[in-house]
Amino acid sequence: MRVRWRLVMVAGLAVALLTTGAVLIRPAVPPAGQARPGTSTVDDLSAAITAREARLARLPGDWLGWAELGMAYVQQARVTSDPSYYSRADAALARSLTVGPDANAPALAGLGAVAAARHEFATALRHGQAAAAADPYNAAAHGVAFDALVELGRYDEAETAVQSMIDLRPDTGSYARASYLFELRGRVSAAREAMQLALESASTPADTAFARVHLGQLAFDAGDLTTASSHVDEGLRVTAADPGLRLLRARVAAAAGDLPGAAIELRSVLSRLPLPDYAATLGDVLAAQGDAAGAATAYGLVAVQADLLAAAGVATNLELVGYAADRAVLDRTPLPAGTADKVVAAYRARPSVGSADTVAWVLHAAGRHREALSYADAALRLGTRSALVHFHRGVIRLATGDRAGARADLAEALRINPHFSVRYAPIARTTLGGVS
Amino acid sequence: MMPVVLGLVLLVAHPLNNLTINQYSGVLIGTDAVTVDYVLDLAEVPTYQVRGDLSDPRAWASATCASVAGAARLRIDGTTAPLAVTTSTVSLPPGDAGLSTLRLECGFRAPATIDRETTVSYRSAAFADRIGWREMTAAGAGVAVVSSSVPTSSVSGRLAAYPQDAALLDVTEVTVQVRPGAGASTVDRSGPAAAPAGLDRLTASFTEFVGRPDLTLGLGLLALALALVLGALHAFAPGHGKSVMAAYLVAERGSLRHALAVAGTVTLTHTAGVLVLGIVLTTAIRFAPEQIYAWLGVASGLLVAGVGAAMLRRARRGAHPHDHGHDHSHDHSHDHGHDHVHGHDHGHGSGHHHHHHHDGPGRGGRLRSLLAMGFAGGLAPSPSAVVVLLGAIALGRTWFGVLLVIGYGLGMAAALAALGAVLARWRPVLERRVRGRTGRLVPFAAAALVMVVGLSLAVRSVLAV
Repeated sequence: MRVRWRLVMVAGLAVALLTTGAVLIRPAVPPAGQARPGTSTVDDLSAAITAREARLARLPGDWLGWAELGMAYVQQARVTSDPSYYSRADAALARSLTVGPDANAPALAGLGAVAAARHEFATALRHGQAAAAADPYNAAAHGVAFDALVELGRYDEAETAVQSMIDLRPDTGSYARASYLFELRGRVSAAREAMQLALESASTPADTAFARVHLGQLAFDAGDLTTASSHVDEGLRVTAADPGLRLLRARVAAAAGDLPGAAIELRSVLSRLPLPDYAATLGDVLAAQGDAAGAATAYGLVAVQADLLAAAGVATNLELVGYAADRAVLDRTPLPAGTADKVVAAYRARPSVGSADTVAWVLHAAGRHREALSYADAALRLGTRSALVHFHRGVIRLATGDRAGARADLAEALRINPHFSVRYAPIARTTLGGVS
Repeated sequence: MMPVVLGLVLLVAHPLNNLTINQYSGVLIGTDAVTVDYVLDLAEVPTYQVRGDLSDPRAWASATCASVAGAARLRIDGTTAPLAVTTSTVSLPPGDAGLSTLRLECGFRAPATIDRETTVSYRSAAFADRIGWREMTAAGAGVAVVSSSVPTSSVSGRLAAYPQDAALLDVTEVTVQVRPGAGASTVDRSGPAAAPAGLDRLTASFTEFVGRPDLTLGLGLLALALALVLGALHAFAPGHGKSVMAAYLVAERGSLRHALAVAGTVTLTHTAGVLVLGIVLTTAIRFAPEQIYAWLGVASGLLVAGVGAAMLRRARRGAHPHDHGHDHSHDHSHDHGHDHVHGHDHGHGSGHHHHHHHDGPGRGGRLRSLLAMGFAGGLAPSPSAVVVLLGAIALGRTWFGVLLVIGYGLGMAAALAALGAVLARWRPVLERRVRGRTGRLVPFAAAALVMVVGLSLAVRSVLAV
């Protein structure tokens, strides 16, 4: 009998080991084809790309290798903001499909990621769903489908996709997507919890910075400057130069009243990465300081990039048009002719709540307040707790003569986050005083 | 509002986008000086950013060239040589959307006397945090280049035409070895890093197979079958003490049951070992698995040697009664294995001692060394099983990987059990053939063999540490 007991104990030990093994062992290396929100450094990526190119020169039939190379190009495009990598990604992914099987999930997911980056969300969804059909266990495929579904305003399907992704691979990429969906639905504490999980499963400094930026932004959007600030500090401890963290630090400083400090920070970030978002924030800070010339130069950096996109024949970019609407509302800079109609057309290809907010604001800037109101309602159809979106609708309601509605929205905006914008928050306060 | 598509805002069909700051440095080593031909190419957006400072372009050019020279470092045989700005010109070529771009050219010079073999290194730190093309070349004029880390001519024609298909170049440092005399400049570009050492081919193809994205039930079962085969092959691979186990079974008159016990222990230990190693390797960064393999090898070898020593002791103690048992054993050879099965379950007191008396005193020791043997056999996890597990983990299929490792262990167990069964069946026949003195020496020889193999395994592993 003692021998039997010993056998039972050994078997029990084995089962325990197998279970802990399966629970503890998590992917240390992100699988190829994964569309991750975080990024690695340019050097790491360049080295990986060079190594893959060399390998594929020897083994041109390696379809998985081509798919991985394509995804590495997509990643490189994100890190460097150099869109020429998308064409290279396209070529490598097409090659993977040529030499590999039709049911080539990594290549299909890669094509979906490229299409999403080009804001072709219907195409992105088609590729993402084809990838998920080819391999239901490919988490990246569900991620690509999720990204497209969110932009297409199909939130229930997006929820299914992100649930599949989390089931397959609970990591920073999947938790961050879940957090975003919670945020859109106004479930702020669930969004915070999911982003906390994204932070806990972050495996690279870039992932950590990504999660910290969004945890900080969630806190900031709820008016909690202290928590936002502590996330920024924690994040900068890991990646001192992360532009997203520094942008948020500048926003927190500006909200706390330190406009000169915010301007210094933003100028420093812009000297490294002159993205429109950073330039527009600097413009707001300088305008709030009363430096009209400095603000005009900063806003000009946004306009220059819009001009370059237009010259390159890129269809209407909703983010950049939103900044143009801000200029029209705040500085009486007229919108280019036809902008409102182009934006309404762009919405049809991307009917998300975020797009609805932009369309509403552009239509308002163009003086079409009645139409603007229906888009403003659509922007809040999920119950998103966004001060800026409530402010937009409040201003639009006032323009349509709905004073009670305007009062409710403006009060709600200031209740959600009294610091939501250095330029619009004071306007919200004075307008609210006027309609009360 | 849009974290998912953040950073994907700019989509321009331009070879190098209009956010970039691109730089070229051409280092030319002459007999009396080192000169640098520096070109700065700003795309539309950075040109817009410096717009405010361009009211006096010439002043801006000389100031910028001076700051680039200040941020660069030229070293000649380890000594820093300060660079002086000799020329600076700026132009504003038209870019996209009616905007302009900017092109700045600077000449730098530092005196140097090249009268023996000299190492020249140049590093540029200007605009280090900006996205852009960074290219360097190096050549000799009147001196011979012995070796260089960069090519002699520019692939972009000094930032005039960027190659369409090349990855973003990012070279910020050059080291050149030169010697006096005009000889042919042998340019030695550092080649690509050597490919990683080739894995066992079967394992490699297996890992690739596991990595198939379209893993169906059929393919999964096929992978499992392959794991079993690989495990079985591994059991017969040299250097893992399988031959030792055979010797053990011969020496100790092991039965099928013994073989099964050893095989089971091997499987359990091996599976657990591979899983533990998998956990260690996926959670600990920068861990040298070779070290673990080596130390486990030492432990395994010493354990085997210890078992060998115990066997030798038993063989000596059992030398006399052995003769007696021997006579019986071939009479009852058919029952032998069967009796053993009962013997273990009933423990010491229960019967059959008429032909099992040699089990008597050494019994507890035998069970212990039996388990020790299996433990030693499974202790050193086979690298190929670890590779398969890590591959599956990397693909996000941890459970499948664990299943494959179990399959691998079962394959090993099956092979060992089969070996044991064959030995248990044929040992009596062998013993009938080998009689007398030689027959009596068999247990000693086998025990000695076990010890020697164990020690050699341990020594080999120590050398590998």
